Amino acid sequence: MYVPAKRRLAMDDPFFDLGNAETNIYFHIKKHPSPITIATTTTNSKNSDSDNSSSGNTSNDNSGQQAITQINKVLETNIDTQYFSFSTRTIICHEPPCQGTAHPAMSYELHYDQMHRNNCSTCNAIFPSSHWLDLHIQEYHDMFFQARIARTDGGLNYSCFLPACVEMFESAGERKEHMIDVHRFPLSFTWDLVQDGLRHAGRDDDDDDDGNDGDDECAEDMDVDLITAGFKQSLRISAPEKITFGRHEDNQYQYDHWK
Amino acid sequence: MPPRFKELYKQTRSSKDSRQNRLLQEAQLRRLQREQVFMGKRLRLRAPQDSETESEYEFTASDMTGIIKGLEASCKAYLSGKHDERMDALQNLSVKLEQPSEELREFVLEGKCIELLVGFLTQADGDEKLQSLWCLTNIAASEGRLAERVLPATPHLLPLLSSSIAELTNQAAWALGNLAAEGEQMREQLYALGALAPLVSLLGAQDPVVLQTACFAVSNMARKPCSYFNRLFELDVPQVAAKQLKRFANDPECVAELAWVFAYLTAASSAQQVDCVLASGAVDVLLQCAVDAADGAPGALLIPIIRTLGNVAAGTDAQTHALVAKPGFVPLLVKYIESRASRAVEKETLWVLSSVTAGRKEDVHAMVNAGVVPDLVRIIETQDYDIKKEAAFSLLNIALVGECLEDLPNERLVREFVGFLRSQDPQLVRMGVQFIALVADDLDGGLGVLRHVEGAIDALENLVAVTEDDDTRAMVSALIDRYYGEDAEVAIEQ
Repeated sequence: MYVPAKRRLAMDDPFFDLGNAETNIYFHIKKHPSPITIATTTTNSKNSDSDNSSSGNTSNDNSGQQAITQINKVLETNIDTQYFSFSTRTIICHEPPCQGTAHPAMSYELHYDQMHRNNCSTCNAIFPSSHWLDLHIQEYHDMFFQARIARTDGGLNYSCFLPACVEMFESAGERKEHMIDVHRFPLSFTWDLVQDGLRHAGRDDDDDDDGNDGDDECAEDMDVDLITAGFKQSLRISAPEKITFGRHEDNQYQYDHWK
Repeated sequence: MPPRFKELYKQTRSSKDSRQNRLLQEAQLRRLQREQVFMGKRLRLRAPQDSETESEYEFTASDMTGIIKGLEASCKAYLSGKHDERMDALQNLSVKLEQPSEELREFVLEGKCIELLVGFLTQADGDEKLQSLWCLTNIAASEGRLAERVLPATPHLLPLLSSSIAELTNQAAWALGNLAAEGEQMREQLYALGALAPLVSLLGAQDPVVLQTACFAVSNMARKPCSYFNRLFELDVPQVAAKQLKRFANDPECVAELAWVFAYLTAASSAQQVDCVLASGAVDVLLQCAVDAADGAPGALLIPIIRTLGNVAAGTDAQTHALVAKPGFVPLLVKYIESRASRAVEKETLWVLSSVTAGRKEDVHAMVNAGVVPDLVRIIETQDYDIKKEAAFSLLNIALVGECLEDLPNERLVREFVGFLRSQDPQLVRMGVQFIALVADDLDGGLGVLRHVEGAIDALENLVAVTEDDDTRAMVSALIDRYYGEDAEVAIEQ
């Protein structure tokens, strides 16, 4: 976990960009050295330097003004606002279901990944990562999966929630135990995340129905009709009852050129 | 219809073309300035009054060829030519080099520009030498390919470093400093050509202007990575610079430039090298200068001092402790954290603080007693991402030592750390988890505060679902279970 540690940073670490930029801008704008004439010798140089530094500044202010304003304008528009403000900007998310919530720019990409990128197009559920979306589609929108779990001889169908772990289980309940025991998931985790996705209404604190989610969709019967009915319900798509081909006399679309 | 008389000899540009031209030049100016700002090179800008034609930075191709031809002609006609013409040509060139056009770039890269300028260096009188050096400085301040063209002129620049004329020494050192800022390869080549020793000896200069430029050049030579870094210590740079610091302690510009030398000497250096700097007494003088600095002092004069202090503080615990023990150090940190003038000062001071709070317990106590925690809380609640993160380091370090725990269960503060959980930065996520665990585990009412923060439990659950780090997951799971209390355990048994 987090342990207090000293961080030695190199001088060209991006962390120092702000300070380096400020120093260099200061040099170019404020320190506008005026040429010291060659005529002064080294013995006089110290005196003339002090003269220059007192009178030089005033003449700099007048003569350097134009260059300074031009540089200032360029640096302000370019450096300050574009380069550094990324870390201070907020982005407003307009994708549904976010209703114009603001996020800091630095975490917007993560917000987008977690809320908008991995959505099930069939049932509009939102998942925090692509692995969860894959699991959801496999377990709830895949008829072959339904067929496999319908077989009484079982077999390992339910995979672990973590992409790195390749264990498979016979039932959702077994999987849940695996998650708690091996991967230290909390007891009060939303176990129907795979089914319903993230919920936005917020959770009730006493929502403790952690029992038997994945088992609901298991069809015990080998009967094809039942399985088909189960498919339709889980697939949640509507298909026409009857599909026919060929010309129909009562077809309202008459093709003139056939006549 | 026959063309109008004006159109016969004057190239008319439509307003669209003018605008395009102007935008192109503004973009060039912007690009160039970016290189100088971030690479730390320094252009020598000529005040516009000195050159009458430069009220707008607009010129045509024909102007450029004119200048180039003028330069070539005046070189060829050196012995019989007019001094004023040559001076004009050189001065014009130095201005144009501030933002070189395509033709000028070609002239420098392919043409005879460098040869001509070197010719001036070796043969001409003092005035022209200076102007030629000025041109070389500005070429070296440009981007890579242009700056590389100046490298072969180095053997002519080195003798000028020991010239009796301050202005020439100054300008030669300036040009070398710009070259050194270009990159590692350039620095190694400069070192191989023997540029380091003369620049270091220039650090002992009496003239403050020359001193500042010498510091600029030596700082850039001291940038890492460089193979000869130890040589700087062998040449007694810390001792020489420390002596100069004492002499010029009243001149803030000199102090700032000398501080940069120390900043580069201490950056990620070995413990021995940092001890050498501490032993030279430089840090005490720098600290004193910072303490004495006026309240409205520009950030640029304080930043190198803070950088040096930060580099020392990030060393061994003994070194950090040595800093904290120095009078004025702790109040200085507190003062700069509250600095509203410069964001960079605030940010880098927080970095120094985070190193101090990661040190010995007594040092952490010292900072807490100086009243730094309320400022940290304020910063975390109100400031933007980068500064917020820095302050969070310090606060977490202090809390993990066991101090100021009663300040932590503050709803606004907890909300910020919950925000860290949603960050893309893995370090920030770990900090968020650690903080929330601290609040929820150890403190009464901590859990209650957590419940009041909207979205906290969702963020925690999201983290469990998505993180690949087992330790984080274990910690967050324990938190979630504690959040829901004993009901969770009862439910699972059903």
